[in-house]
Amino acid sequence: MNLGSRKARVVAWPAWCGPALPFALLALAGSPAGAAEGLQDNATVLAQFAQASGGPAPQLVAGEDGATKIEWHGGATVDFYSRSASGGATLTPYSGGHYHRIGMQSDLRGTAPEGDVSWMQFALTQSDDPSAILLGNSQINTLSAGRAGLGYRVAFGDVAVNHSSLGANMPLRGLLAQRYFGQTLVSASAGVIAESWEALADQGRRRMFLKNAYALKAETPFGQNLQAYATVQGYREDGDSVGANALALVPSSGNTATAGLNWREGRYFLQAEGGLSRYGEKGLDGHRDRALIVDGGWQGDKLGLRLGHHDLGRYYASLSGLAGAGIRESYANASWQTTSWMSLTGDVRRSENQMAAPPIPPPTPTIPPTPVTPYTPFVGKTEAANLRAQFTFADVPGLGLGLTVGESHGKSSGGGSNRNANQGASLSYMRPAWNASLGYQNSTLKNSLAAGSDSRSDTWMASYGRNWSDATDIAPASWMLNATASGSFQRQHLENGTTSTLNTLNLVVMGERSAWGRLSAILGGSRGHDATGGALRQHWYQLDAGRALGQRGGIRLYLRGMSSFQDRSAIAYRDKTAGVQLSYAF
Amino acid sequence: MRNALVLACALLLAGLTATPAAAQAPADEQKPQLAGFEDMKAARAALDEIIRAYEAGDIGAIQARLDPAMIGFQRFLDGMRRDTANLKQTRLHLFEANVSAGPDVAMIQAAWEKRFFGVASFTPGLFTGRSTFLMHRAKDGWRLAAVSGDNPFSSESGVLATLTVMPSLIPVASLALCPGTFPGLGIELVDPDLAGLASATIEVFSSQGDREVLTLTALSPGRFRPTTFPVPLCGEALPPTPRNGKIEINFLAVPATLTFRYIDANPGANRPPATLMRSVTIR
Repeated sequence: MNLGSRKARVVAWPAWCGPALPFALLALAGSPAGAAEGLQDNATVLAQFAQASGGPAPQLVAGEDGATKIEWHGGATVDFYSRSASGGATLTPYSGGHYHRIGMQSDLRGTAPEGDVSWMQFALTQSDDPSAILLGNSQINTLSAGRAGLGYRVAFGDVAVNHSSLGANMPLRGLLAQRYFGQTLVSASAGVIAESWEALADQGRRRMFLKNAYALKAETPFGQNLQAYATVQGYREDGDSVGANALALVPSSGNTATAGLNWREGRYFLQAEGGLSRYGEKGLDGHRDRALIVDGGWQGDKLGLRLGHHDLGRYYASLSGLAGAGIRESYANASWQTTSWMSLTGDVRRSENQMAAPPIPPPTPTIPPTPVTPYTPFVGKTEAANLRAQFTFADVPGLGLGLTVGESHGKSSGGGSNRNANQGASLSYMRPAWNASLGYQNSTLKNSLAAGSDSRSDTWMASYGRNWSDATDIAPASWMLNATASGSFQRQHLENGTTSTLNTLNLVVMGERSAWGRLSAILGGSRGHDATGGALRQHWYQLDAGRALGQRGGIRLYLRGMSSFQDRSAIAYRDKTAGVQLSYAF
Repeated sequence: MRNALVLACALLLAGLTATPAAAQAPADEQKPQLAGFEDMKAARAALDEIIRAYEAGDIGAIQARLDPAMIGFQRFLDGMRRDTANLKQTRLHLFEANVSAGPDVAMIQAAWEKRFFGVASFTPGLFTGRSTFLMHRAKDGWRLAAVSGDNPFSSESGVLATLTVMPSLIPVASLALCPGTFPGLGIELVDPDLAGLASATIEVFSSQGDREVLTLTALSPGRFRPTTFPVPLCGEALPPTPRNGKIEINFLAVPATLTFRYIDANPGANRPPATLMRSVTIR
C-alpha cells in the first residue's frame, strides 16, 4: 500500500511517540481481516488506525507539489502445521503436535515536505510451537520508531548503535539521537541491553543480567580526507534482574573511552582507534586495560593491499560486539588481478589469543585462607597463511577453477601445540542450459591438548544442474524447470586408527509456471559409518507448492521430513511436518 | 551510571532543539537512510547462508565472506575448523530472533541450539546460547562482521559455560563418615569452548578451610562430569585437610558452605575471564 500515491499532505497527526502507537499497530496487524480490508482506500486505513490508537486520524490533503508522502507497507503470514517428532530434546529441537505460527510486520513512514522521514516499524511472531519460541508464545521481532532529516536522527525502541569498533557497536533497547553541529556529528544512546523485549518485561524469561548502558560519540572532519572521533560509553549489569541461582555469574560493570580517526587520500586509507577501559565484577578487584586497532591499505586498479594490527587486552570492556577481548594480531592481505584469467588473494597473520582454554592440569591451588585461586592466563599464539587463486579460461567460456591452500600453527603457554592445514580445488562449468562442478577439500587437524580428535578429512563434491524453460531471445519464460543433483563423499581418518565416512546424495527439482504457481521437491539421503563402526543412515524429503492469491496474497503447502539413524535406538530421531501457509502483503 | 544516562539524554535533547542554523550536515548526510524489512530479510538470509555453510563444514565459503580486518579473524576460523573436525552432523537451530537495523548495519539477536555428535564416540551433544550477529552491508551483499554474546560457530571464541551443582542443601546426617562418599551430589560443567578436551577441572573450597580440585571427564564434547563418582564428600569430627582428594565436613562445626568454582577463560559477550560459582549448604 502506498498512501503517498495520493500525494497527500498531513495536516494533523497522532502522537508518533505516544505509547498507544505500538499497540495500535499491533492491533491492526493482529487482525488478518483488518489487513485485508486495509486495501480498500486511504480513509478506511486511517480510520482503523485512529480507532486502534484512540487518537484523531491523520488527515490527508492532496498537495499539488506532492510534498508529504505516507507509506505503509506490511504483511502477515499464518501457518498451520502438524508435526510428528521423536528422539528427545538432545537430538532434535522439534516436538510433535498441531501448531500455528503467525508473523506480522508493519512499516509506516511519513515524509515531510522538507524531506524529513518519520517511521514506525514493528514485527511480531506469535506461535505455540516451542521450537519457534521457547518461553511464552509471542516474540517482538522488531520495534522501532523515529525521525530523521537534514543533519539529525532520533530513534526509539530497537536501535542499532554503531559508533566505533572499540567503543559501542551493539543493539540497544532505548534511545538513539544524532545531530550535526556544523560539521561535527554528536551521537548519543542510552537504554538497556536485554535478550528481548519479552525478557525486558518479564524476569522469568531472562537468562542474562539486564545491562544498563550509555554511549556518546563526537566526530568531526579535518579537511577533506580526515575524520576524527571520540567516544565514551559504559554499562552496569543489574544483579537483581535475574532470579536467585539462575546464573552462576557475578554482575559486572565497565567504562570505556576511545579516540580514533578515518583517513583516505587517493588510493590510500587508514583507520585507527585506541581505547582505555575499566572493568569490575561485584565484590572483586577491578581491572584497567587498553586496546588499539590500526587498519590501512592501498587500493590500485588491479592490486589491493591491506595491513593491520589489533591489540585488545584481556580485560578490555567495551560495548562493541566487534571488539573481541584478549586478541593481539597483525595481518597482511593482498588481492591481485594478475592477468585477465587469474586472480590471487593472499593473507598472512600472526595472532595471540589470551583467552584460550585453560591448561590441563590446572594451576596449583593456593593455601587457605586465600578465598580463591588467582586466575592464570593461558595464551595461544598462532601463525597462519592462506592463498586463494581463481582462474577463468577465455577459450572455454563458463569454465572456472578455484584453488585454496591454508595453514595455521599454534603454540600455547601450557606447552600445547596445534596445526590446521587445508587445501581445496573446485572446477565449475556453466552453460545457459546446464552447469556442473567438481570439488575436493582436504584438511588436517592436530591438537596436542585434544589428541583423541586429531584427524585428516578428505571430501569430494560433485553437482550437475539442468534448466528448461520456454524463454526466447525476445520473450521471457512462462514456465521453467530446474533440476540439480549433488553428492558429497567424505572420509575422516582419526589419529587413533579409526575412520568415519559419510556419502550424501541430494536431488532438488524446482518448477514454476506463471499461471499456476511454483513447486519444489527435495529428496536426499546419506550412508556411512562413524568412528566406532556404527552405521549411519539418513534420508530426507521436502515438497513445497505455492501460488499467488490475487495481487497480494499467497498460499503455500509444504511437507517435509527427516529420518536419522533409525536402526540405532540411542541416537535415532525423526520429524515430519505438513502444513499450510497463507500470506498477505501490502 | 544513572546520572550519566540522564546527562546523555539531556545533552542530546538539548542539541536536537537547538537552532536550525546549527544543523548544517555534510552534503552526503542530507538524505536520511532508513533500513526496511527487506534489508533485515536480506541480512537474515546472508546469516542463514553462513549457518548452512557451517553445518556443511564449508569453512572456505565462510572465510571468503569475512572481512580480513575482522578482530579475532584467525581465532574464529581455527575454531570453526576445529568444530568441523570434532563435531559431526552439526545442526544449528536459531529461534526468537530480534533485528535492529540502521543504515548499512543489521544486528540480529537470537537464541540458538547446536546439536552434534562427537567424532570419536558419536555421542550426541547439545549446546545452547544467545548471540548477536553483526551484519554489515558490503558492495556484494551482507557480510558477517562479528558475533558477540555466545559464539555458536567457533569453539574457543567464547560461550558462557554453565556449572550445575545439585542439591543446594545437604543434611549433615546424610553424610557418610570419612573416607565415605556421597552419591547424591550431582556436578556438571558445560563449556562449549572446551569441546574436544578430555577433561576439565573445577575447584571446591569450604567455609571450614578445605580446598580440593575436582577433575571432570568429558561425557560428550564440552560436557563434563566428575571422574570419580560418587563424589568423595564425607563427614568427620576433625577439621578438614586441604588437598587430600576428599571433601571433608567437620560435622561438629556445621552449618558449613561448600563453594564450587570454575573459571571460564572465554565466556563471550565481551566479558573477560569469568568466575562461575555454585554453593551447597551443609547443615
